[in-house]
Amino acid sequence: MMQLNYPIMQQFEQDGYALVNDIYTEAEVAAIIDAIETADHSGPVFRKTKDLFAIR
Amino acid sequence: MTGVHPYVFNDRLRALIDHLFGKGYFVVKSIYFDKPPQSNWFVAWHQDLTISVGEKADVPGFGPWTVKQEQYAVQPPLEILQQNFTLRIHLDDTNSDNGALRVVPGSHAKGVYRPETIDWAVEREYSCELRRGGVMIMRPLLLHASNRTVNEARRRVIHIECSKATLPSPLHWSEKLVY
Repeated sequence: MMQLNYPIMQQFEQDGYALVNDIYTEAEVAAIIDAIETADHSGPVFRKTKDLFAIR
Repeated sequence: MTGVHPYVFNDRLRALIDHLFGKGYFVVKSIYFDKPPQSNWFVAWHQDLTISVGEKADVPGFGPWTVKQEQYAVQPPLEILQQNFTLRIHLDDTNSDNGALRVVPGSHAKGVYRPETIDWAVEREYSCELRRGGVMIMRPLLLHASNRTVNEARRRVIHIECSKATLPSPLHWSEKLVY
């Protein structure tokens, strides 16, 4: 079980956000990117411009 | 995006969510954003005031309505937005040079906060820098913005909104995925 330190919880309550590094290993990030790149890119919620690429 | 969720909700992220919010939440919106190296894309200060629902219906407390990318979006009662949270999964190192999110700390607690009323003599902004593999957790009512990329570094982020709200019939979430 992850040990969440008090400052993260306190920051989230007070500031409305928290930043947590190292949730994913490099291999896990690579697996996520691979899953995205093999996803269906043909639906109506796929957008690609020179400034932004978005899939829903 | 549903094929991606099993990779996203690993044990560390589940533990983080459980500690901060407890059980009972589910995914209601997922968007993958890829800001290319030469991107001029920027987003002005705003709060995420709408939720995506499967159909339009006249229900008290819900409105105004918009249609975005062929999906209905509606502003729900404030209590729903106050309970919801957003995960931003960072797939690249992110800093102020490649469009890191800028936020106004504490603005989530001020209800609907029109950007034109921000008093910069009182408020401050913070740039949310994260390493590849890091996660930002935020309330949708947090005022946020992002700049253009200036260092030609790619910035890929998965934006996932979670809720535990049951919408009044006939409204229903356009996406509902138990992680």
